[in-house]
Amino acid sequence: MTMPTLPLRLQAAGLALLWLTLLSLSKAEPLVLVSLPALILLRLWNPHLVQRRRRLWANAIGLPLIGACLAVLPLADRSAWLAGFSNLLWLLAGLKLLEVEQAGAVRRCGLLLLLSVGAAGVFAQDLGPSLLQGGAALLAVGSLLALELGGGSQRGLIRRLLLLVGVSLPLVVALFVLAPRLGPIWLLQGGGSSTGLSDQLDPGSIASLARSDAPAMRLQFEGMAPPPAAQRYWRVLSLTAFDGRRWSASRAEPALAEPTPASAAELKPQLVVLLEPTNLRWLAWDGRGLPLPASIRRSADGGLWQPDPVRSRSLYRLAAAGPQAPQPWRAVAPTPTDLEIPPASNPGLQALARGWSELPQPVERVEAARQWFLAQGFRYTLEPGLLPTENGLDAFLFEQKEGFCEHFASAFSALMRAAGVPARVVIGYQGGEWVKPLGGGNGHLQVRQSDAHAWSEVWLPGQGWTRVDPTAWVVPSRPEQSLYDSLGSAGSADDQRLLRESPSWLQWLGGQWQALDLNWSLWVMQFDQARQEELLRQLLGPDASRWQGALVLISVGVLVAVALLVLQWLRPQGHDRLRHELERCLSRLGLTVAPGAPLEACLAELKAPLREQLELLLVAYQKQRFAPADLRGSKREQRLLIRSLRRLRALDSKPWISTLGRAWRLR
Amino acid sequence: MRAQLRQWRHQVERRLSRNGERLRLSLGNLYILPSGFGGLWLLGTAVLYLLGINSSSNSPLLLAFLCTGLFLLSLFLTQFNLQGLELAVADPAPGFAGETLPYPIQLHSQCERHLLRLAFRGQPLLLQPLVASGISLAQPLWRPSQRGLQVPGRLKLYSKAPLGLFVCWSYWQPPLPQLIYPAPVAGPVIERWLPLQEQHATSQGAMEAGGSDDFRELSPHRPEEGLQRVAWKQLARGRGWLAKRFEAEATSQLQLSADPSLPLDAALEHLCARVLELNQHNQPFSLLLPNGREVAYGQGRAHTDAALRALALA
Repeated sequence: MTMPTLPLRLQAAGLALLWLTLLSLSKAEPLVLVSLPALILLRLWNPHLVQRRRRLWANAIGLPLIGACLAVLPLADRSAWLAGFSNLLWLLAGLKLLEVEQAGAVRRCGLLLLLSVGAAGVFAQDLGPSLLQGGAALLAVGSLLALELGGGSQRGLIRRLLLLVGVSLPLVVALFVLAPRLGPIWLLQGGGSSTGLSDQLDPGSIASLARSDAPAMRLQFEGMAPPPAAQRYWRVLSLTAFDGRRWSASRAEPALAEPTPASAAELKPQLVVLLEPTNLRWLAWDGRGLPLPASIRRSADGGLWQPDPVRSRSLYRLAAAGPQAPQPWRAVAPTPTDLEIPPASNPGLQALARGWSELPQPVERVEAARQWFLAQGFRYTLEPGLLPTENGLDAFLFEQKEGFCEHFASAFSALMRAAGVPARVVIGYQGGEWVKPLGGGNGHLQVRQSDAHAWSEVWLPGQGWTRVDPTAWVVPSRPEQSLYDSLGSAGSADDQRLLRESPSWLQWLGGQWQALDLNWSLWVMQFDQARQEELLRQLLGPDASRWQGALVLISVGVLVAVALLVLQWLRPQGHDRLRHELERCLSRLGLTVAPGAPLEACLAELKAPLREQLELLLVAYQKQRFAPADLRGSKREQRLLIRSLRRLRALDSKPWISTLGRAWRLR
Repeated sequence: MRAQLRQWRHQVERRLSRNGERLRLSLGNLYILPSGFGGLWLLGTAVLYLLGINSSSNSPLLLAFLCTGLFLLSLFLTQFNLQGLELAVADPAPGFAGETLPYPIQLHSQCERHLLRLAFRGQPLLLQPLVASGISLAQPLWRPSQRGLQVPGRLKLYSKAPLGLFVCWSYWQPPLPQLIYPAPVAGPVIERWLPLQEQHATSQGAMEAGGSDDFRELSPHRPEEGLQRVAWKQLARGRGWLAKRFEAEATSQLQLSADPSLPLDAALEHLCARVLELNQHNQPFSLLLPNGREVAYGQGRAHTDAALRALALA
């Protein structure tokens, strides 16, 4: 049996798509990323290479690669076990592709490709990678189909593949929605990359984020309008520990509020948040509402806390999150930590603040700081340069006088502490872009990593913890505008170059894509046991779960039947146009071909010249039908033949010719 | 108990060896089971499902459900690929024992069918790619070991389309026998030269068809004689299309017969080889067989075929 080339090409293409999705994965080993395209190219470049010296190649390529992979992978680490397994699977898919020869091996290679796609799906669940994975899976199924199609054209293959997968999609959806979900048997650590905030504020850490266009989170508002631009502050972490240079989160276990009661699930309005992986235990919110699911807890310092770090995209809701909702964490009294400042650090800053500490009201001290900041002529820039390790804030306040939001927030909070006002730094996101989906419907707020922001909170007696954003003093437009625009009004040309804005249509396209991605995550990737139960309850009433098994079986049976009917209906019946034309022509001439008899037999009763003409056509027809492929005429010849058959038929339909035709017949 | 078992086996054997002239594949004579790859596929589906539920991610789950759906669908599609197909015998061309011979089978189909596999029991596999609607011909191979009118035995026809997850098959014993000549094996035969006077008793055509030796005359060329005998020299001189006639130096006739000291089949094999050799050299001969049958003196393709046929059936 010759080597099946088409299935192999399809599998190579599938593997290439898989490789594209792996590129964006932090879990994919560089070794795998490098060797996969090399293996694909080797296969396409010389398909017979490995077959000729099988053992040599297997030893020269396969074993060292697998060995290196096993050496590199942290297989001993149980939490990374899944990543190690997946990397091995991806590499094996490439090696298998290189060595397949027989039909059976091609099938197994296709299955291996499907498994690798599934393993990649654990790590990358965004719409883009999902589409690529879907393409790779489609190609793997196509390679199996091509093996059994037996010499059909490529167009026919594509048609059949799309048809087959198309009719099985309803089945997939039914199983996905209805099949009972099991909880994890043993937990595997999935999760993707994390770019984003960290739990401490190093000078420069947010400025580096500002250049990242990656999405940070998306918010949907159910039953309420999105807040005005100046109010879009999404808090993630409160930083209370200050060592003179760096603000960091308290290492102690957070003090948690009561978990959300089950009755809160129905409370409106709700805010739906889809958060990209951050590797933090802290989630973003605007400080209002009750978190759902109940495993997410509110902390005393105004954060949302969950026991496990956010390793993959996670979806949560905030019930009763309207603008008037209470914010109990604001009233939590400050602790002595909120006034701590290392006495030896930043003497200039402490001296400045000591002057304000004589003002009787904390509000007046804040106001004094505002006046001072405005008078100093600070500049807002993405590239403030490095601050000295010793007394860095002094250098910022009195020498460099240019900085990014983290500089302003940490300097202001330190000033307030030195002036005797309890203060902390809050990091999170500020802003967001409203994306209207194409078909109307519910829009969403798109928050990017470049919206990362740091601000301050001070304790004012009577008001509780109050947000103060010193960056907004320096760049008043910052809360309302994007980072790019605020840098345009206050920053330098260099900053604008760093944040080169894409054209508006590209932004629009990007927004639509993000909306699709959001819906994909919302409806498909985050569809879990709880949402399944909720859906079934809505569809079938309270005891839906009792019917679930029967429902699955019935719907699968019905859908299989429908799929088969559709396939049968779309099956190419009289696809042979030539034969069809010939039969029509003969029947118009009143000729019938007895089953099993040669075609020429029916011509015996015709008279020349019609017989001669038909004989010539029949010879041409038989050549087209039965000659080996290389002797068969071109498509054009076939068209010519069809045309002459039609002409003959049309000739007969003219009355006078038709009588002539009948007269030709011997009776 | 034993008798029951024997009866049951007999029934199964009879079911598996349908031998009508035609066989229409239907639910009653098609069998289907998951193939080995189908089992592997289910295992892969289970792995994907476990991966999905344990990592709480839906992509592997979707993929596992897709695999399930395709598996369920291909159970039916594999069967549909064979169902309704009609097999009928076609006239098989004769061949030699010990050689691999095609045995033609007509496939009547109302619709297009994917890759079919055909094999006689213990014989090589034939892949029949894309069977178009209408009538087409499949020629599975077999290697007959004996001369005579032979049937190739039980044909297994199976298909794994569309995805190779299931294998669906059926059995049929085509009843039309194929004429098998003895295998040509060089060896001793009895050759006798008979006197010339019997020549007139043999056909005129044998001489007419042309010995290869002596030129006799020129006569007008007939198209069915082909180009080998055209008198090109005369044609070039403008004398028109003429054919050369030859006359064998036929003073006596060659008669072949089997060596009585050998077993019958071996002797027939030697005769077969000798007949083929004579045919190759275009020499006329007659054949006397041990069963008393005689093939008259002559030469040419038709004569050789008649001689081989007689050898096969002797």
